[in-house]
Amino acid sequence: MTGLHELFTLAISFDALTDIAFWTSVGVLAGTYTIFALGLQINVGYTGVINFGQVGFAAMGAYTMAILVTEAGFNFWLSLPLAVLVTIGFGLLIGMPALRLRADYFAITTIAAAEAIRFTAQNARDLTGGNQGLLGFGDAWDSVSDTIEGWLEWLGWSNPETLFPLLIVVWLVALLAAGGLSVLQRTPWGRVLRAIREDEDAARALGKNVFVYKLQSLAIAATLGAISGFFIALNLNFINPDVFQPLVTFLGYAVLILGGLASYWGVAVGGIIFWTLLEGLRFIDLPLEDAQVAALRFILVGLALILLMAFRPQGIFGKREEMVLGD
Amino acid sequence: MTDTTAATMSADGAKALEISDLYKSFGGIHAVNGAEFSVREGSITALIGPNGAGKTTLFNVVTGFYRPQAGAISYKGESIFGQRPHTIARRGMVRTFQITKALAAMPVIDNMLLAGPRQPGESLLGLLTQPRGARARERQLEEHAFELLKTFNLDGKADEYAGTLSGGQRKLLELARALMTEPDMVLLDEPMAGINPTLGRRLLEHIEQLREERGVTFLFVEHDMDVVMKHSDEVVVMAQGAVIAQGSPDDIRGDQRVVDAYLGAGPAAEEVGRPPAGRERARKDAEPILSVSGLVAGYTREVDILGGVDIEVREGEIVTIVGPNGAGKSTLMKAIFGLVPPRAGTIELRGSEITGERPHNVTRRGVSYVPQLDNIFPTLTVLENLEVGGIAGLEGPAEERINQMFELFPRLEERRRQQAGTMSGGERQMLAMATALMPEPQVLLLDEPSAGLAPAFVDAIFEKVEDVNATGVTILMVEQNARRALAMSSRGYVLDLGTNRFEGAGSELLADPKVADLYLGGGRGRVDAGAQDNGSG
Repeated sequence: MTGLHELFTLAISFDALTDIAFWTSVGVLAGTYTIFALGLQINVGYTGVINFGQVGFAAMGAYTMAILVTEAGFNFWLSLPLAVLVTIGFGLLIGMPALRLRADYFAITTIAAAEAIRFTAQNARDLTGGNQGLLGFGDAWDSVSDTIEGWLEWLGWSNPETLFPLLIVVWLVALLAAGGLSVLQRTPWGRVLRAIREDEDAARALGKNVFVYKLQSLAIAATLGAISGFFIALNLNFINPDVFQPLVTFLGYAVLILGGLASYWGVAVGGIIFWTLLEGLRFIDLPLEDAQVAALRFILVGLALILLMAFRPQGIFGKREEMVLGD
Repeated sequence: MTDTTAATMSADGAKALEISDLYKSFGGIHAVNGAEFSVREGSITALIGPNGAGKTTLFNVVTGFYRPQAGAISYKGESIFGQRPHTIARRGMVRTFQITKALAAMPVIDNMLLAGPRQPGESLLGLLTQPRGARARERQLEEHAFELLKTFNLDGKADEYAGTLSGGQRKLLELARALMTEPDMVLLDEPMAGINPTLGRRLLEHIEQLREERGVTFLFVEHDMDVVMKHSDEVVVMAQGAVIAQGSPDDIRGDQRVVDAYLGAGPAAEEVGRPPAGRERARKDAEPILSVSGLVAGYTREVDILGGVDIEVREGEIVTIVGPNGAGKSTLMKAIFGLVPPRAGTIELRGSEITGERPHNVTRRGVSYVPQLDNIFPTLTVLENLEVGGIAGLEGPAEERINQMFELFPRLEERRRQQAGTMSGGERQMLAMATALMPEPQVLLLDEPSAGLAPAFVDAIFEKVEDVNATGVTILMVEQNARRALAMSSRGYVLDLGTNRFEGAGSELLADPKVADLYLGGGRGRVDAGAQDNGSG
């Protein structure tokens, strides 16, 4: 009988499921990764440019913003567009030489570029604080956050979650971006991108300047990467090089593949499902060490992804025909 | 060269395309080697030549996909030398590809709209500044696209993915898409390859109609000589990277240089009677070692490249298979070696069936194969290549066999430590043969051993083939240098459109005028007969 009892305690502890603070932070992560992976989607899913360095754009955006605010004394709101511009500039700097390479070499270059940023952040201590990182850039946001909290109280939520305003804003941005990109994808411009994904030479033969389109696609990915970097920074209230490990890019790919290639809305759904799964698995109550549970979560999510690939390789929203016919 | 150029100069009409002294080489191979010709505005000009003549490379250079090393290319009187593909396309010169590049995962209508010119919505700035202009242009383009699709009988497929179309329909779509750009000149790379005769005929009708109605200039590479002779105003002949003749179809048909280019310059007449090496050893009553009967094979579902081929090779023979491009010669070699699964028919080695065996098993049973291209490992050394060749089925120590190979090919011994990819074409070919000989095969299959080699090496390679044969290896080879190869062969087969046309002793075939006709279109009426599919390979 005790065995049966133990089986029941294996189940999820229901208190945590209703923990608003916890799910708010999961929601912020899901929104941040949605924005992050939208950048991957336009590169990988629509242009056929394999970008493995998206986290580099996030780091570039977050660090530029933080440095402008804390070191150079810029206004926070002004620092955001400036940081986006710097990140786009960095993207073009990488893209100009590297996009002329074959797709696989380009992918390697992007990993290297992202790592170069992380190591620079680690070592340029005067500017970036090294491993100690940077903080104190979010005051302007905090006051906006307080205002939104006030509205929430006015709406009747006594003592709202501190992260809830960020959750609202991150999803507002994520949905705007997904919607905007979906509209853009249906234009003649988006059609050229898809043609490049299918066959660059065919696009060239029809008079399309493939290189320029690829650069534009990369610039948009850089913009989205920088914005996701802002949210990473505001969520943690702090940044250091460890936040921008290559793993972040690969979690972004998990979100992308889950949602399906060539679907912007799929990325949003993929973001929600991925983070709900990954964080929700924390509550599986097993007689294991914390570190073991943490590892198990990743194993289970990995298994889920493998099963998805086996039974629905196009992801949740991807089109199977495009996958089968695409090669 | 000069007399034919003069002849075309006298014909009136401006030049759409003029090419002079054009060079493009890859490593040590001169793919385009001083080519020079012109295309009259509003003409349908055919570009022909044996395999490896440099036709496709020339297309790639002219349309900006490859950068030429030297020369001049002018289009409508302006230089387009070294310009990038999209710039050239926007100037009104579009191309199609030998292997169709239908954008498979996009709907047919999107394939068409993509090609529409002057669409402001194709730039982000245009989308912002003139969204209405983009929408209006899109409607115009849609109308135009449907008109074109209708003429090509594709309007019913507009919303389907291009990948669901048949091979022939894809060719039509590619042509329709090219026309969507409103071109002045269209370059077609083997438009008829791999499509059935009905669709082929429709394609040709469209081309002629477009020339009549819109004055579009066409330059096309084609292997089907009947199509070339019947449907072109002018023919340009390339061989070994240069243009050897240009003129009307009738001029070309009668031009000895063209006949030579296709059949190979070959031995002088007095040498023809010399008993060939292979025949001396192979007695008429020798056992058949390799027999192929009723072999049917192909790559795409609709088209059989081989339509029932019968070949017999007797012990100790050198047997050569010749035939025009697209006859199915290489496919036959691949089918024997197990690289293409046969759809019908049998292949027997010493009476036991090897039909459909996988290549590594075929090697173990004593048949080696030297493909036409990619037949060595370029980053490995000569010695390493030979060692790799010896892995399959060699019983004795590899060193011994390698030394035998060095005796047979002394040149390779000199270069044993050299990276194979850095050697000349002829040396690579020798290495490829030696590698294939490592597992001590009974039968050696050679696909175009002399293709793309400098003339001096061609002789050396043929001598080596005889030397190999002298060691007791039976040889079945495909060769474009028909005269030279047939002269040294015991017997030969002439293949055309995937079936046997003629067979006989090498010298008999050499003397037969029907063989030459086959290469240059002797009015076999293959398109109009409509009975057989035309294929490439």
